[in-house]
Amino acid sequence: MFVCLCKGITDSDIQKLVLEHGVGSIRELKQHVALGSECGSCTKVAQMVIDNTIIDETLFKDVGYSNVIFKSIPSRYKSNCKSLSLLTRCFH
Amino acid sequence: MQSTSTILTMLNEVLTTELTSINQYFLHARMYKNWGFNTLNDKCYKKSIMDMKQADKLIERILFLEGLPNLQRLGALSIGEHTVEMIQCDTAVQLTQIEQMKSAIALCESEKDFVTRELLTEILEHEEEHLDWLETQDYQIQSMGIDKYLQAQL
Repeated sequence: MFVCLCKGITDSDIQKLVLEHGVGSIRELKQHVALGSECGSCTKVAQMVIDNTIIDETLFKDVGYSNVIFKSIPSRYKSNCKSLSLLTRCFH
Repeated sequence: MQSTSTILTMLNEVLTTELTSINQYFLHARMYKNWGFNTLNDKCYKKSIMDMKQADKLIERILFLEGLPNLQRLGALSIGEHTVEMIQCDTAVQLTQIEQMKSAIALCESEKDFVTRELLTEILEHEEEHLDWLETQDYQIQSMGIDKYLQAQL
């Protein structure tokens, strides 16, 4: 599905950036693509796609103790998947 | 004729949904046409034109009730990348629109605006019909597979 019609950015593009480049927020996403630079009406959906990718793919699902670790991480770090994967690596 | 502000706000919200769906169906229709799926193009094109006519009726009704129709506001379009996703996006839009229409009709009932209610009931009937068509397509895709389904749309 197209998230940003102005720049033709799809949800799979965003998912790929989250998974491959550790994008965890709109600000980080904007460093890779020009999303939200024209009409700005897509930022809400884009944020939702980022959040869902982080939660659904759980990026560290196969790490074992992920759930326990995830609950112990303060919520301000949870939005940033780069620090999240770093944290889980440290815990391991 | 004067009307209550709640009715006018509601009518403008319904108008926004219609204006958004005009664009969504128009783009989907022409995407189907570009891929050569003429049956799907015809269906979506006609739905877009139907929405335009419904928006026209809403605009006339808002003006009749001494309100100002807001043609500037548009909702976000949900545009799919391929046929299955496009049908899913359209279904989601139809479901939210039908919910909106139902609460709008309930508001008309409580405000005793029976003429607006009739107009909205007519729109709701068309929206339900289109949702049923979308559900049929979804069923066909699941039962015959996307390849055969698309072959039937040429």
